[in-house]
Amino acid sequence: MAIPMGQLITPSSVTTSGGASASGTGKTTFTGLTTTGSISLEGIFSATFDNYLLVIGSLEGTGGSLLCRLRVGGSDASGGDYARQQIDAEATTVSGSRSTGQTSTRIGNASAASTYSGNHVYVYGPNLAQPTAFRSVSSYMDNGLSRILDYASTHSLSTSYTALTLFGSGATSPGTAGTIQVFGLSQ
Amino acid sequence: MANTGMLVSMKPTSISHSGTSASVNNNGGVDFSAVTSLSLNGVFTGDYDNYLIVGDSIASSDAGGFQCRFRASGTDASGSDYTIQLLQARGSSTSGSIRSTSVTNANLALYSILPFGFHGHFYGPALAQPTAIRAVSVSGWESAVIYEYANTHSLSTAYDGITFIGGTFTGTVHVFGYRE
Repeated sequence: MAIPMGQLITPSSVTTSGGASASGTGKTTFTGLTTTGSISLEGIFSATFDNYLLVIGSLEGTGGSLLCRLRVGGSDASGGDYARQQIDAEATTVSGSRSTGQTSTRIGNASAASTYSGNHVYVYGPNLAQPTAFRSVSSYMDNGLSRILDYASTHSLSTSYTALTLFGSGATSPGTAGTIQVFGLSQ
Repeated sequence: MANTGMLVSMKPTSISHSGTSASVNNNGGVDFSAVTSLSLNGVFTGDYDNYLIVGDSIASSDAGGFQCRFRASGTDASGSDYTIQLLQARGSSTSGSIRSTSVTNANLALYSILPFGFHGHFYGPALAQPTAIRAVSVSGWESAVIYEYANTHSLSTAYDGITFIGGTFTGTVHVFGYRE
């Protein structure tokens, strides 16, 4: 019997704030992600799946890093409970860094308009009442040149989350744009 | 009930090759043996933005690696429009990573005589915009190494196919679209 590897998840709703916009059902297309512009994908994490894959494509704009926060009951988890390890391969230099006590975490990058990066983000156990892990695998088109900027992140609270909020690290309009698809991974 | 499975097999509408043999298998993948080029037509469409290409049982005695070029209407995009970033881990070293610019192909994996595999994540090849690729691979060269590539292609062309090149190679590839 063939078992599908995963299932496309359609958010129960997508809320926006701060000038960000979103459209679509299975694939959500977004624009205007900044420090104040965000979208929230509601109802994407449930007890049906433990683990999830986010496929983020066509990522471009002036928003800088693509950031996220877990979310439940209409409220973001915005305490200093995120930690992030990154590995950066740029030309001949490979470097790493770790940030702790963060109020959000990074899952992607955009360097400029029309640069179109992509990320696969594996999310482990966001709906389980235990800490959550993220792993982001990137193809970062940094001003037209290829770059690897991957992230491993943790969130330490043992809370069951149902949603995810996305926003950008840059304040400059028009911010970051792209697409996101959410898949539950079969178990 | 609507099918909401994550991956959709993108069976090529046609293939062509140079070398010994290549054929589309019953699952929609392509098996090949001792070929020097392999073209898959009709695997990228307007139905999907993002794609996964899984390579398995790939082997070659040649130096270098498994490479690709995008393709539209039967013609390869072979201009100097690709860039490649390599991240490698060999033994205790992560040094030697390189970036290549203005090259005529993207890289997906490092060859070895031992059969190896890779996952290639393709972002937007059928969209009229630049394309990004990330390849995660294992190679049996020097017993075991990690060679990972991020690639870009700068032309804003919508591609419908892909050509694999690089020495003489054997194995299987399968193209999937991410449902949206």
